[in-house]
Amino acid sequence: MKDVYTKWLVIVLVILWTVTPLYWFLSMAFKTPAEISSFPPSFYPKHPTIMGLITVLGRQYVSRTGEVFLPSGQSGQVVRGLLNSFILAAVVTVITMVLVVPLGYTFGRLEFPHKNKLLFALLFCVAVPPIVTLIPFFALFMKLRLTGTLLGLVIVTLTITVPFVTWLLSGFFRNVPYVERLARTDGFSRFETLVMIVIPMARVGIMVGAIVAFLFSWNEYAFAQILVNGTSATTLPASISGFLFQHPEPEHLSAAVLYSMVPPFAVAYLLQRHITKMNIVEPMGR
Amino acid sequence: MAEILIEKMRKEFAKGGTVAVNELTLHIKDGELMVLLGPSGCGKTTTLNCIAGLERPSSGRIYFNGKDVTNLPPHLRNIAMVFQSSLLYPHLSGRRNIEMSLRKSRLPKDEIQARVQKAASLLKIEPLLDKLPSEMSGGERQRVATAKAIVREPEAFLMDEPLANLDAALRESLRPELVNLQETLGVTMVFVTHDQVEAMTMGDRIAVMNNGNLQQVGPPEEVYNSPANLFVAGFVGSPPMNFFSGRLARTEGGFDFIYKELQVELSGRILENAAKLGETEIVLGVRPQHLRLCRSVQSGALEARVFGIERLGKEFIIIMEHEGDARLKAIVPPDFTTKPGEIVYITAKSEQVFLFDPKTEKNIAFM
Amino acid sequence: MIMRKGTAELSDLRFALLLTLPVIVFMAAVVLYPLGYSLWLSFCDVTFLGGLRAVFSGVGNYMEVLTSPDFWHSLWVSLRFTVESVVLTLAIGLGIALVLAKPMKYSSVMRSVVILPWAVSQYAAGIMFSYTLRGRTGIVTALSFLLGGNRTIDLLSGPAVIEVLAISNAWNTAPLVAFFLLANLEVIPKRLYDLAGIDRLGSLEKFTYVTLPYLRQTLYIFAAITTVFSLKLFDLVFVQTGGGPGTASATLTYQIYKECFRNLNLGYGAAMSVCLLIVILAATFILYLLIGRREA
Repeated sequence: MKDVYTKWLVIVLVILWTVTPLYWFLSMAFKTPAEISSFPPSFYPKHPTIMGLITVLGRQYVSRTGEVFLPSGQSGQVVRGLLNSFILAAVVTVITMVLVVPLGYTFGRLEFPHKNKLLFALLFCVAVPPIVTLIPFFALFMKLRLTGTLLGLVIVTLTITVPFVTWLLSGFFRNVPYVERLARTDGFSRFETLVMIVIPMARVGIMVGAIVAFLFSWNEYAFAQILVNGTSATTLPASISGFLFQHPEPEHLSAAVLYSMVPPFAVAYLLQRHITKMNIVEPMGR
Repeated sequence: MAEILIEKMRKEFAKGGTVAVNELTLHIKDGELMVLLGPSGCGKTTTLNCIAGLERPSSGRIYFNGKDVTNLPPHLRNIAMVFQSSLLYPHLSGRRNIEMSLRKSRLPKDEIQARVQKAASLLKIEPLLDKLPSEMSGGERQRVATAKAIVREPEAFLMDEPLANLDAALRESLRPELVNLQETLGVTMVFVTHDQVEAMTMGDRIAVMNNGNLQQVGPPEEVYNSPANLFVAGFVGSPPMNFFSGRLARTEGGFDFIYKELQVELSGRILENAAKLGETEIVLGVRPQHLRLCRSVQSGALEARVFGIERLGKEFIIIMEHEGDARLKAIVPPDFTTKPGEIVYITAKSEQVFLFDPKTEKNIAFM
Repeated sequence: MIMRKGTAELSDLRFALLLTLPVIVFMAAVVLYPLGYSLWLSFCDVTFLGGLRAVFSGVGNYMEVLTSPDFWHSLWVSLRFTVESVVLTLAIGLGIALVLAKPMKYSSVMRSVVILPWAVSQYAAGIMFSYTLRGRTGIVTALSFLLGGNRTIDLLSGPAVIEVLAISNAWNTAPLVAFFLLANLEVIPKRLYDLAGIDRLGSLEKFTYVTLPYLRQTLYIFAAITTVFSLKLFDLVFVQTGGGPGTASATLTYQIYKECFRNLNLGYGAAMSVCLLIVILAATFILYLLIGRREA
């Protein structure tokens, strides 16, 4: 019996650890401004309302008691950011995968001189802090007038997604069964083998790679905050930071963050099923 | 069907690196089942890959029916290959796997279907056509891989240890099936294996390889009965041949082989060749079934201590130790009683021994 | 694909080049060129008068960085944060993995819940923790009032702010570690535990002699990954504490941000960023030596 209790105890602990910060912050999205400003803070929304979720998207909200809530001042940026974030994430994901699939295949399965050096260069790219990359890009984009544009943001975001996803995928490709010789005797050229046989076999890994690329670009903050914040090219993360430093409206902030978490949470099931198939522990073998 | 001629083929993977195959010349006859036999790393799989066109020889030529195919890619050689452990595309069903063989053939769709059906019924794999390889057993995968090979109606079958990783009983039942199939289709087959039993039971001829060098080519019984050198003698046959490093000694009538107390009087062809060598160092080989064991002291018999007994029913294998030398094995009738620790005395008969030159390692019968 | 009949297929090298050369050139353009540019800027005085102007000034920026107490303070903060993050992330990741490894109903739901923090962006995690741990709106204050207290408790203004940040970071990254450890746990042959049982090992001994050896490689790799990612972390600190209170949690990345984009001191910031890169490379090299030696 004792074992059963400890098992449940640790399970509850893990769930509490995972969920508490999410719950504490996201529950604010359902509280009224009055409840949020009350002290001490409440554990759950006493009068749950979707006011925050509506007004942050730029709509007016009338409560059942007839109280009228005007759209949030930041809502223009949030809506625009939501749209731009989708565009950014979709474009970056597509470009990343087009670049990374051949790269991952090459690193994972082909033997060529200086391969390890190139892989180290790749891992180095993963290790470069975005804030360091930002300095030259900031200066360059000033010259090229690319600050405040989605194009500029797409380019810098690729510097994060391409190395990381290549790293993930080359480990995955390495674990795909070696059917190249079979394909050659069947008369497929190397390129056909890659496109018609290896890529379909690696579809799970490619899907996870695409999800990670999407998550990274959807969640990217530092670049957006510095390059596009406050412009028409703003993304959701950048527009959310507008709440932080201008006028705190916790219910709107919480609602905006909640929206920003919908796509990541939607893919959580797929991630937990497949993420460990990405062989990040030994991307280049031993 | 194809006659395959390999001429002075050499393969090294890096310039100046280890030589995987060294100056190999091998003639595989039309409709023949040729087994390439050797330990891992002997160059047999590399040879097969070169025949298939998966690898290019560093030098030398390969001819199919007199046509030079050395630089042709695999699919233009009209061969089919079954890979180690019967490799299949893991994401495709049995049917789709078989169809992939013909995907590049430009055959009409119904012809492809007909061929798949024919191969499937020949190998009795109809129930497997809609399964994925992961849902098949090892033996089932082997059949599907074979079907995939025959739908192409190739001139030559190349098989790279297709029965490895199967359990012993399954291997034994699949061997005659493959031989039967090859004979039915009348196709040339090159079969790579490290298992000498597989080689002996399947091959029309066996090519024994070691360290990239061809050691001997011939029908199984020839390889077994007159091994060309020490390596072949030790590799073919189970349990392996026993060796004694001794010397030749002149006697009144001719020559004797002497190793410690062991003394074998030579006769016949061996004696003639021994006479040419004169008194010299020599290696004597005796197959386990030809060692005679005795429980009492005899003149010219080697003393050994019984280490273990394997009771196989129709015969026993006696394992013996001799002064810390390599172990000796003898096959005796089951009425021979002994137990570990006992001393036995070993003799051998002249007509049943082989002599090898320790320097060249050659069988002196070939001198 | 150009392939004449009768010629052999492309070699590995040629195929590799064909596939990756465009990508590598592109990556070199967007990573190496900017890095080189950054290196050049670090030797320049950069001004924004009427557009960006950079004038070569030698090692002046580096002298300034190395003599600045702010730099050394930030380096210390970064290192402390990194070490704590690594320890917490690995420990919590291991704990979660061990819990998830137990057979349970709805394990797929449980796993989907547990991976959520990894899908949460750093900035969102920063915002969440700042509201959850801050005095005015925090859960700790709420709990203390629930238990009859009457003080606000602010974890973000205390002396342990770096530890709080490390915990937030661990919350964010531990699930990934946990999932890879879990994958490792699942390949340990169950028979080994039976064997350990026959040898009468206690549960702690079973853990050290059976479980841990299987996890070693993964733990080492994630120690390296977490080290690098903690050293390069910016969003979380920027959002959660803004380097504060005062400069108590100003990591190197935050300091670089402040110099470059607030004070527009690009040359000085670039010099500092080069120093950060050197720190990251040194840290990975040291880890590589440690792990490499242990593995050999």
